[in-house]
Amino acid sequence: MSEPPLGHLLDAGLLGEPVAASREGTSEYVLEAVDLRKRYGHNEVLRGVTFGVHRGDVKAVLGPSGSGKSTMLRCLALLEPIDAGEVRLEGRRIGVRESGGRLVSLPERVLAKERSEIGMVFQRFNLFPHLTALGNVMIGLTEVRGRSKAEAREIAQTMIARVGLAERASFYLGELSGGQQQRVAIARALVMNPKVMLFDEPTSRGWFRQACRRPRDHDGRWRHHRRRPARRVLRQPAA
Amino acid sequence: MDFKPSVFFEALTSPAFIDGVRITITLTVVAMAFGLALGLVVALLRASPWAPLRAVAWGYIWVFRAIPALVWLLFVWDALPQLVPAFKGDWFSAFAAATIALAMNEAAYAAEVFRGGLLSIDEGQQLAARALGMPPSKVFTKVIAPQLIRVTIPPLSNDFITMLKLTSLASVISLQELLARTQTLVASTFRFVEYFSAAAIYYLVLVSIFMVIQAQLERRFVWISRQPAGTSALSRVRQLAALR
Repeated sequence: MSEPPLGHLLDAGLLGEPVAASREGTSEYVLEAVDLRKRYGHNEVLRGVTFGVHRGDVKAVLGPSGSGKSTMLRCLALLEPIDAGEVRLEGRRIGVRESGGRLVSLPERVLAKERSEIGMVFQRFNLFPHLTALGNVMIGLTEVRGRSKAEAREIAQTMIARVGLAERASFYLGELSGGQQQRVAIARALVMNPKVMLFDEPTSRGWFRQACRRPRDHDGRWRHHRRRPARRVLRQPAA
Repeated sequence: MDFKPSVFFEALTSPAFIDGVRITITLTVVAMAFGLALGLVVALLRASPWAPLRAVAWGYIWVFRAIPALVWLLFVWDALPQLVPAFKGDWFSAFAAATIALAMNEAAYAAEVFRGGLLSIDEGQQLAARALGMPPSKVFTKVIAPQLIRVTIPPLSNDFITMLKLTSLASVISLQELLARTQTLVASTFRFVEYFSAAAIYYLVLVSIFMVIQAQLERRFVWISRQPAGTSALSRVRQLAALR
Protein backbone atom coordinates (compact mmCIF):
# COMPACT_ATOMS: atom_id res chain seq x y z
CA MET A 1 0.00 0.00 0.00
CA SER A 2 1.34 3.39 -0.83
CA GLU A 3 2.05 5.98 1.81
CA PRO A 4 -0.79 8.43 2.26
CA PRO A 5 -0.02 12.10 2.56
CA LEU A 6 0.94 13.23 6.02
CA GLY A 7 1.66 9.61 6.92
CA HIS A 8 5.14 10.57 7.93
CA LEU A 9 3.61 12.74 10.65
CA LEU A 10 1.98 9.82 12.40
CA ASP A 11 3.57 7.35 14.71
CA ALA A 12 1.67 4.67 16.56
CA GLY A 13 4.43 4.54 19.15
CA LEU A 14 3.77 8.15 20.03
CA LEU A 15 0.04 8.49 19.57
CA GLY A 16 -1.11 5.00 20.39
CA GLU A 17 -3.27 2.91 18.11
CA PRO A 18 -6.30 4.68 16.68
CA VAL A 19 -8.98 5.16 19.25
CA ALA A 20 -11.39 2.31 20.01
CA ALA A 21 -9.08 -0.17 18.32
CA SER A 22 -10.05 -0.32 14.71
CA ARG A 23 -11.75 -3.48 13.58
CA GLU A 24 -9.93 -3.91 10.36
CA GLY A 25 -11.57 -6.20 7.89
CA THR A 26 -15.04 -5.89 9.35
CA SER A 27 -15.82 -2.90 7.22
CA GLU A 28 -14.83 -1.91 3.78
CA TYR A 29 -14.83 1.79 4.43
CA VAL A 30 -13.34 3.88 7.21
CA LEU A 31 -15.76 6.69 6.57
CA GLU A 32 -18.96 6.28 4.69
CA ALA A 33 -21.78 8.64 3.87
CA VAL A 34 -25.10 7.19 2.81
CA ASP A 35 -27.69 9.44 1.21
CA LEU A 36 -26.85 12.51 3.31
CA ARG A 37 -29.51 15.17 3.21
CA LYS A 38 -29.41 18.60 4.75
CA ARG A 39 -31.52 21.66 4.23
CA TYR A 40 -31.61 25.12 5.74
CA GLY A 41 -35.19 26.28 5.39
CA HIS A 42 -36.02 26.12 1.69
CA ASN A 43 -32.38 25.81 0.71
CA GLU A 44 -31.62 22.16 0.05
CA VAL A 45 -27.85 21.96 0.50
CA LEU A 46 -27.16 18.24 0.41
CA ARG A 47 -29.37 16.10 -1.78
CA GLY A 48 -28.43 12.53 -1.07
CA VAL A 49 -24.64 12.46 -0.88
CA THR A 50 -23.22 8.96 -0.89
CA PHE A 51 -19.57 7.92 -0.92
CA GLY A 52 -17.00 5.86 0.95
CA VAL A 53 -13.38 6.36 1.92
CA HIS A 54 -10.98 3.47 2.43
CA ARG A 55 -8.15 3.52 4.92
CA GLY A 56 -5.33 5.54 3.43
CA ASP A 57 -7.53 7.05 0.75
CA VAL A 58 -7.36 10.69 -0.15
CA LYS A 59 -10.50 12.03 -1.67
CA ALA A 60 -11.23 15.53 -2.77
CA VAL A 61 -14.52 17.26 -3.27
CA LEU A 62 -14.60 20.02 -5.80
CA GLY A 63 -17.28 22.54 -6.46
CA PRO A 64 -18.05 26.21 -6.77
CA SER A 65 -18.39 28.22 -3.57
CA GLY A 66 -21.76 27.85 -1.93
CA SER A 67 -22.25 24.36 -3.31
CA GLY A 68 -22.27 22.76 0.15
CA LYS A 69 -18.75 21.39 0.55
CA SER A 70 -18.22 22.89 3.97
CA THR A 71 -21.71 21.92 5.06
CA MET A 72 -21.01 18.34 4.05
CA LEU A 73 -17.77 18.30 6.04
CA ARG A 74 -19.53 19.73 9.07
CA CYS A 75 -22.17 17.04 8.83
CA LEU A 76 -19.49 14.36 8.58
CA ALA A 77 -17.72 15.86 11.60
CA LEU A 78 -21.04 15.74 13.50
CA LEU A 79 -20.95 19.50 13.94
CA GLU A 80 -24.29 19.86 12.14
CA PRO A 81 -27.17 17.42 12.47
CA ILE A 82 -28.24 15.84 9.20
CA ASP A 83 -31.88 15.67 8.13
CA ALA A 84 -31.62 12.20 6.65
CA GLY A 85 -29.06 9.61 5.73
CA GLU A 86 -26.21 8.01 7.60
CA VAL A 87 -22.64 8.74 8.54
CA ARG A 88 -20.67 5.59 9.24
CA LEU A 89 -17.29 5.40 10.87
CA GLU A 90 -15.70 1.97 10.43
CA GLY A 91 -19.09 0.60 9.61
CA ARG A 92 -20.74 1.94 12.74
CA ARG A 93 -23.47 4.50 12.37
CA ILE A 94 -22.58 7.66 14.29
CA GLY A 95 -24.41 10.75 15.49
CA VAL A 96 -27.73 9.08 16.19
CA ARG A 97 -29.25 6.33 18.27
CA GLU A 98 -32.46 4.43 18.00
CA SER A 99 -35.20 5.19 20.46
CA GLY A 100 -38.60 3.59 20.18
CA GLY A 101 -38.14 2.79 16.50
CA ARG A 102 -37.13 6.35 15.68
CA LEU A 103 -33.67 7.78 15.20
CA VAL A 104 -32.76 10.58 17.55
CA SER A 105 -29.67 12.73 17.67
CA LEU A 106 -27.26 11.72 20.42
CA PRO A 107 -26.82 14.09 23.35
CA GLU A 108 -23.99 16.59 22.91
CA ARG A 109 -21.83 14.83 25.49
CA VAL A 110 -21.90 11.56 23.54
CA LEU A 111 -21.50 13.31 20.21
CA ALA A 112 -18.35 14.89 21.65
CA LYS A 113 -16.84 11.43 22.20
CA GLU A 114 -17.59 10.42 18.61
CA ARG A 115 -16.20 13.66 17.25
CA SER A 116 -12.86 13.01 18.91
CA GLU A 117 -12.31 10.16 16.44
CA ILE A 118 -12.67 12.49 13.49
CA GLY A 119 -10.00 15.11 12.80
CA MET A 120 -11.07 18.39 11.33
CA VAL A 121 -8.96 21.21 9.93
CA PHE A 122 -11.03 24.29 9.28
CA GLN A 123 -10.67 26.62 6.36
CA ARG A 124 -9.72 29.45 8.68
CA PHE A 125 -8.01 27.02 11.09
CA ASN A 126 -9.82 28.45 14.14
CA LEU A 127 -6.80 28.18 16.40
CA PHE A 128 -7.38 29.18 20.01
CA PRO A 129 -5.87 32.65 20.45
CA HIS A 130 -5.43 32.31 24.21
CA LEU A 131 -3.12 29.32 23.82
CA THR A 132 0.34 28.99 22.34
CA ALA A 133 0.93 26.78 19.31
CA LEU A 134 1.92 24.03 21.75
CA GLY A 135 -1.12 24.73 23.93
CA ASN A 136 -3.40 24.36 20.91
CA VAL A 137 -1.97 20.92 20.22
CA MET A 138 -2.05 19.92 23.91
CA ILE A 139 -5.60 20.90 24.77
CA GLY A 140 -7.30 17.94 23.07
CA LEU A 141 -4.95 15.53 24.82
CA THR A 142 -5.53 16.99 28.27
CA GLU A 143 -9.22 17.87 28.03
CA VAL A 144 -10.53 15.07 25.81
CA ARG A 145 -8.07 12.21 26.03
CA GLY A 146 -7.45 12.71 29.75
CA ARG A 147 -3.68 12.77 29.45
CA SER A 148 -1.59 14.47 32.13
CA LYS A 149 -0.10 17.86 31.32
CA ALA A 150 3.42 16.41 31.23
CA GLU A 151 2.46 13.56 28.89
CA ALA A 152 0.48 15.87 26.65
CA ARG A 153 3.33 18.36 26.47
CA GLU A 154 5.76 15.65 25.38
CA ILE A 155 3.47 14.30 22.67
CA ALA A 156 2.48 17.76 21.48
CA GLN A 157 6.11 18.85 21.30
CA THR A 158 6.96 15.91 19.09
CA MET A 159 3.98 16.64 16.87
CA ILE A 160 4.82 20.34 16.64
CA ALA A 161 8.37 19.40 15.66
CA ARG A 162 7.07 17.07 12.95
CA VAL A 163 5.18 19.86 11.29
CA GLY A 164 8.39 21.88 11.46
CA LEU A 165 7.39 24.37 14.12
CA ALA A 166 9.60 23.35 17.04
CA GLU A 167 10.99 26.86 17.38
CA ARG A 168 7.56 28.39 17.26
CA ALA A 169 5.93 26.19 19.89
CA SER A 170 5.60 29.03 22.39
CA PHE A 171 4.13 31.48 19.87
CA TYR A 172 0.58 32.68 19.93
CA LEU A 173 -1.83 32.84 17.00
CA GLY A 174 -1.08 36.45 16.14
CA GLU A 175 2.61 35.67 15.82
CA LEU A 176 2.23 32.86 13.30
CA SER A 177 1.95 33.19 9.54
CA GLY A 178 -1.03 31.70 7.72
CA GLY A 179 0.93 28.63 6.67
CA GLN A 180 2.24 28.14 10.19
CA GLN A 181 -1.27 28.41 11.57
CA GLN A 182 -2.35 25.72 9.16
CA ARG A 183 0.41 23.44 10.39
CA VAL A 184 -0.64 24.00 14.02
CA ALA A 185 -4.25 23.25 13.04
CA ILE A 186 -3.16 20.02 11.33
CA ALA A 187 -1.03 19.06 14.34
CA ARG A 188 -3.92 19.82 16.69
CA ALA A 189 -6.18 17.45 14.77
CA LEU A 190 -3.59 14.74 14.06
CA VAL A 191 -2.41 14.50 17.64
CA MET A 192 -5.84 13.12 18.57
CA ASN A 193 -5.00 10.15 16.36
CA PRO A 194 -8.28 10.29 14.49
CA LYS A 195 -9.52 7.60 12.14
CA VAL A 196 -10.16 10.10 9.43
CA MET A 197 -9.07 13.64 8.73
CA LEU A 198 -11.31 16.23 7.13
CA PHE A 199 -9.74 19.30 5.55
CA ASP A 200 -11.79 22.27 4.52
CA GLU A 201 -10.03 24.07 1.66
CA PRO A 202 -6.58 22.67 2.46
CA THR A 203 -4.93 24.24 -0.55
CA SER A 204 -5.77 27.75 0.46
CA ARG A 205 -2.34 27.79 2.11
CA GLY A 206 0.82 26.33 0.71
CA TRP A 207 1.97 24.01 3.39
CA PHE A 208 -0.51 21.21 2.90
CA ARG A 209 0.54 20.58 -0.68
CA GLN A 210 4.17 20.74 0.30
CA ALA A 211 3.65 18.24 3.10
CA CYS A 212 1.81 15.84 0.82
CA ARG A 213 4.70 15.86 -1.61
CA ARG A 214 7.35 15.58 1.03
CA PRO A 215 10.08 13.20 -0.16
CA ARG A 216 10.29 9.94 1.65
CA ASP A 217 13.21 10.70 3.86
CA HIS A 218 12.03 8.68 6.86
CA ASP A 219 12.15 5.28 5.24
CA GLY A 220 12.95 3.37 8.41
CA ARG A 221 10.28 5.06 10.41
CA TRP A 222 7.42 4.54 8.01
CA ARG A 223 7.15 0.91 8.79
CA HIS A 224 5.73 1.84 12.21
CA HIS A 225 2.85 3.72 10.72
CA ARG A 226 0.67 0.79 10.05
CA ARG A 227 -2.67 2.27 10.75
CA ARG A 228 -3.03 5.64 9.26
CA PRO A 229 -6.28 7.38 9.15
CA ALA A 230 -7.90 7.85 5.85
CA ARG A 231 -8.22 11.42 4.86
CA ARG A 232 -10.93 13.20 3.13
CA VAL A 233 -9.82 16.35 1.55
CA LEU A 234 -12.04 19.10 0.49
CA ARG A 235 -10.53 21.32 -2.04
CA GLN A 236 -11.46 23.80 -4.59
CA PRO A 237 -9.53 24.58 -7.75
CA ALA A 238 -7.59 27.77 -7.49
CA ALA A 239 -9.72 30.40 -9.07
CA MET B 1 -11.40 80.34 52.89
CA ASP B 2 -12.40 78.10 55.68
CA PHE B 3 -10.36 74.92 55.40
CA LYS B 4 -8.57 73.51 58.40
CA PRO B 5 -5.93 71.00 57.32
CA SER B 6 -5.78 69.58 60.83
CA VAL B 7 -9.49 68.70 60.71
CA PHE B 8 -9.06 67.26 57.23
CA PHE B 9 -6.21 64.97 58.30
CA GLU B 10 -8.03 64.01 61.45
CA ALA B 11 -11.01 62.97 59.27
CA LEU B 12 -8.76 61.01 56.93
CA THR B 13 -7.27 58.99 59.77
CA SER B 14 -10.29 58.65 62.05
CA PRO B 15 -11.17 55.03 62.91
CA ALA B 16 -14.81 55.66 62.06
CA PHE B 17 -13.87 56.70 58.55
CA ILE B 18 -11.55 53.77 58.02
CA ASP B 19 -14.25 51.40 59.25
CA GLY B 20 -16.63 52.98 56.73
CA VAL B 21 -14.09 52.41 53.99
CA ARG B 22 -13.83 48.77 55.04
CA ILE B 23 -17.60 48.33 54.67
CA THR B 24 -17.58 50.15 51.32
CA ILE B 25 -14.87 47.82 49.97
CA THR B 26 -16.57 44.68 51.30
CA LEU B 27 -19.94 45.65 49.89
CA THR B 28 -18.42 46.51 46.51
CA VAL B 29 -16.56 43.21 46.21
CA VAL B 30 -19.40 41.00 47.48
CA ALA B 31 -22.15 42.71 45.44
CA MET B 32 -19.93 42.69 42.35
CA ALA B 33 -19.14 38.99 42.73
CA PHE B 34 -22.82 38.05 43.02
CA GLY B 35 -23.73 40.52 40.27
CA LEU B 36 -21.20 39.03 37.84
CA ALA B 37 -22.27 35.48 38.59
CA LEU B 38 -25.95 36.31 38.10
CA GLY B 39 -25.12 38.43 35.05
CA LEU B 40 -23.31 35.53 33.40
CA VAL B 41 -26.30 33.28 34.02
CA VAL B 42 -28.66 35.87 32.51
CA ALA B 43 -26.35 36.30 29.50
CA LEU B 44 -26.26 32.54 28.90
CA LEU B 45 -30.05 32.38 29.22
CA ARG B 46 -30.33 35.09 26.60
CA ALA B 47 -28.36 32.88 24.26
CA SER B 48 -30.50 29.84 25.09
CA PRO B 49 -32.11 27.97 22.19
CA TRP B 50 -35.32 27.82 24.22
CA ALA B 51 -37.46 30.94 23.73
CA PRO B 52 -39.06 31.11 27.23
CA LEU B 53 -35.61 31.22 28.84
CA ARG B 54 -34.54 33.97 26.46
CA ALA B 55 -37.69 35.90 27.36
CA VAL B 56 -36.98 35.61 31.09
CA ALA B 57 -33.45 36.94 30.57
CA TRP B 58 -34.70 39.75 28.35
CA GLY B 59 -37.31 40.69 30.94
CA TYR B 60 -34.74 40.74 33.72
CA ILE B 61 -32.45 43.08 31.81
CA TRP B 62 -35.39 45.26 30.84
CA VAL B 63 -36.65 45.66 34.39
CA PHE B 64 -33.37 46.13 36.21
CA ARG B 65 -31.86 48.57 33.78
CA ALA B 66 -35.02 50.65 33.98
CA ILE B 67 -35.42 50.85 37.77
CA PRO B 68 -33.07 53.35 39.42
CA ALA B 69 -30.64 51.62 41.77
CA LEU B 70 -31.81 53.80 44.67
CA VAL B 71 -35.46 52.92 44.11
CA TRP B 72 -34.65 49.22 43.96
CA LEU B 73 -32.47 49.48 47.07
CA LEU B 74 -35.30 51.09 49.05
CA PHE B 75 -37.73 48.53 47.68
CA VAL B 76 -35.54 45.64 48.82
CA TRP B 77 -34.92 47.15 52.24
CA ASP B 78 -38.44 48.42 53.05
CA ALA B 79 -40.93 46.67 50.78
CA LEU B 80 -39.49 43.18 50.41
CA PRO B 81 -39.96 42.21 54.10
CA GLN B 82 -43.63 43.17 53.79
CA LEU B 83 -44.01 41.08 50.67
CA VAL B 84 -41.97 38.05 51.70
CA PRO B 85 -41.95 37.08 55.38
CA ALA B 86 -38.56 35.35 54.99
CA PHE B 87 -36.96 38.78 54.77
CA LYS B 88 -38.23 39.76 58.23
CA GLY B 89 -35.56 37.72 60.00
CA ASP B 90 -32.55 39.13 61.82
CA TRP B 91 -30.25 37.99 59.01
CA PHE B 92 -31.71 40.63 56.73
CA SER B 93 -29.30 43.40 57.68
CA ALA B 94 -28.72 46.63 55.81
CA PHE B 95 -25.59 45.01 54.41
CA ALA B 96 -27.56 41.99 53.13
CA ALA B 97 -30.20 44.25 51.58
CA ALA B 98 -27.58 46.42 49.89
CA THR B 99 -25.77 43.33 48.59
CA ILE B 100 -28.96 41.89 47.10
CA ALA B 101 -30.13 45.17 45.57
CA LEU B 102 -26.79 46.21 44.09
CA ALA B 103 -25.95 42.72 42.85
CA MET B 104 -29.29 42.42 41.06
CA ASN B 105 -28.80 45.88 39.56
CA GLU B 106 -25.31 45.02 38.39
CA ALA B 107 -26.38 41.67 36.92
CA ALA B 108 -28.53 43.41 34.30
CA TYR B 109 -25.58 45.46 33.06
CA ALA B 110 -23.07 42.63 33.36
CA ALA B 111 -25.40 40.37 31.36
CA GLU B 112 -25.26 42.80 28.45
CA VAL B 113 -21.49 43.06 28.71
CA PHE B 114 -21.18 39.26 28.70
CA ARG B 115 -23.61 39.00 25.80
CA GLY B 116 -21.54 41.45 23.80
CA GLY B 117 -18.42 39.50 24.72
CA LEU B 118 -19.95 36.21 23.61
CA LEU B 119 -21.03 37.76 20.31
CA SER B 120 -17.50 39.04 19.74
CA ILE B 121 -15.98 35.54 19.91
CA ASP B 122 -15.79 33.93 16.50
CA GLU B 123 -18.17 31.01 16.02
CA GLY B 124 -15.20 29.00 14.73
CA GLN B 125 -13.83 28.84 18.27
CA GLN B 126 -16.63 26.70 19.62
CA LEU B 127 -16.72 24.72 16.37
CA ALA B 128 -13.01 23.89 16.70
CA ALA B 129 -13.43 22.97 20.36
CA ARG B 130 -16.40 20.73 19.60
CA ALA B 131 -14.59 19.17 16.65
CA LEU B 132 -11.78 18.17 19.01
CA GLY B 133 -14.35 16.30 21.07
CA MET B 134 -14.81 18.63 24.03
CA PRO B 135 -18.08 18.33 25.92
CA PRO B 136 -20.10 21.58 26.25
CA SER B 137 -18.80 22.39 29.73
CA LYS B 138 -15.19 22.27 28.55
CA VAL B 139 -15.92 24.20 25.38
CA PHE B 140 -17.07 26.98 27.67
CA THR B 141 -14.47 26.81 30.44
CA LYS B 142 -11.39 26.04 28.33
CA VAL B 143 -12.06 27.94 25.12
CA ILE B 144 -14.84 30.50 25.44
CA ALA B 145 -14.33 31.76 29.00
CA PRO B 146 -10.68 32.85 28.65
CA GLN B 147 -11.56 34.85 25.55
CA LEU B 148 -14.69 36.21 27.21
CA ILE B 149 -12.73 37.42 30.23
CA ARG B 150 -10.26 39.23 28.02
CA VAL B 151 -12.84 41.25 26.14
CA THR B 152 -14.99 41.97 29.18
CA ILE B 153 -12.26 43.24 31.52
CA PRO B 154 -12.48 46.88 30.37
CA PRO B 155 -16.29 47.23 30.46
CA LEU B 156 -16.62 45.22 33.68
CA SER B 157 -13.94 47.39 35.28
CA ASN B 158 -16.18 50.32 34.49
CA ASP B 159 -18.99 48.50 36.24
CA PHE B 160 -16.77 47.81 39.23
CA ILE B 161 -15.98 51.49 39.64
CA THR B 162 -19.65 52.34 39.23
CA MET B 163 -20.45 49.78 41.91
CA LEU B 164 -17.89 51.29 44.28
CA LYS B 165 -19.66 54.60 43.97
CA LEU B 166 -23.17 53.11 44.08
CA THR B 167 -22.42 51.66 47.52
CA SER B 168 -22.82 55.22 48.83
CA LEU B 169 -26.56 54.84 48.13
CA ALA B 170 -26.66 52.34 50.96
CA SER B 171 -26.19 55.23 53.37
CA VAL B 172 -29.94 55.87 52.98
CA ILE B 173 -30.72 52.47 54.48
CA SER B 174 -28.41 53.23 57.40
CA LEU B 175 -25.54 51.02 56.30
CA GLN B 176 -22.49 52.59 57.94
CA GLU B 177 -20.34 52.78 54.88
CA LEU B 178 -18.07 55.67 53.93
CA LEU B 179 -20.73 58.24 53.04
CA ALA B 180 -22.93 57.44 56.06
CA ARG B 181 -19.94 57.84 58.38
CA THR B 182 -19.06 61.13 56.72
CA GLN B 183 -22.57 62.46 57.16
CA THR B 184 -22.63 61.46 60.82
CA LEU B 185 -19.36 63.27 61.47
CA VAL B 186 -20.47 66.29 59.47
CA ALA B 187 -23.68 66.49 61.49
CA SER B 188 -21.76 66.86 64.72
CA THR B 189 -18.95 69.15 63.51
CA PHE B 190 -20.42 71.09 60.58
CA ARG B 191 -16.97 70.85 58.89
CA PHE B 192 -18.44 70.05 55.46
CA VAL B 193 -15.40 70.92 53.38
CA GLU B 194 -12.92 68.85 55.36
CA TYR B 195 -15.10 65.76 55.78
CA PHE B 196 -16.50 65.58 52.28
CA SER B 197 -13.01 66.21 50.88
CA ALA B 198 -11.66 63.36 53.00
CA ALA B 199 -14.43 61.06 51.71
CA ALA B 200 -13.69 62.09 48.12
CA ILE B 201 -9.99 61.36 48.67
CA TYR B 202 -10.86 57.87 49.87
CA TYR B 203 -12.99 57.16 46.78
CA LEU B 204 -10.20 58.51 44.61
CA VAL B 205 -7.62 56.28 46.29
CA LEU B 206 -9.86 53.20 46.08
CA VAL B 207 -10.54 53.72 42.38
CA SER B 208 -6.83 54.34 41.74
CA ILE B 209 -5.89 51.08 43.45
CA PHE B 210 -8.48 49.29 41.39
CA MET B 211 -7.14 50.80 38.16
CA VAL B 212 -3.72 49.33 38.97
CA ILE B 213 -5.35 45.94 39.52
CA GLN B 214 -7.22 46.28 36.23
CA ALA B 215 -4.01 47.06 34.33
CA GLN B 216 -2.35 43.98 35.81
CA LEU B 217 -5.34 41.83 34.95
CA GLU B 218 -5.27 43.05 31.37
CA ARG B 219 -1.58 42.29 31.15
CA ARG B 220 -2.28 38.68 32.09
CA PHE B 221 -4.59 38.45 29.11
CA VAL B 222 -2.14 39.67 26.48
CA TRP B 223 -1.49 36.64 24.33
CA ILE B 224 1.98 37.30 23.06
CA SER B 225 4.95 35.02 23.58
CA ARG B 226 7.55 37.65 24.26
CA GLN B 227 6.56 40.88 25.85
CA PRO B 228 8.87 43.60 24.66
CA ALA B 229 8.13 47.17 25.63
CA GLY B 230 5.23 48.22 23.52
CA THR B 231 2.46 45.72 24.19
CA SER B 232 0.39 47.93 26.45
CA ALA B 233 -2.75 49.44 25.05
CA LEU B 234 -1.18 52.89 25.22
CA SER B 235 1.88 51.94 23.22
CA ARG B 236 -0.27 50.16 20.66
CA VAL B 237 -2.15 53.41 20.18
CA ARG B 238 1.20 55.15 19.77
CA GLN B 239 2.28 52.61 17.18
CA LEU B 240 -0.93 53.12 15.25
CA ALA B 241 -0.45 56.87 15.42
CA ALA B 242 3.12 56.48 14.17
CA LEU B 243 1.91 54.40 11.23
CA ARG B 244 -0.32 57.15 9.97
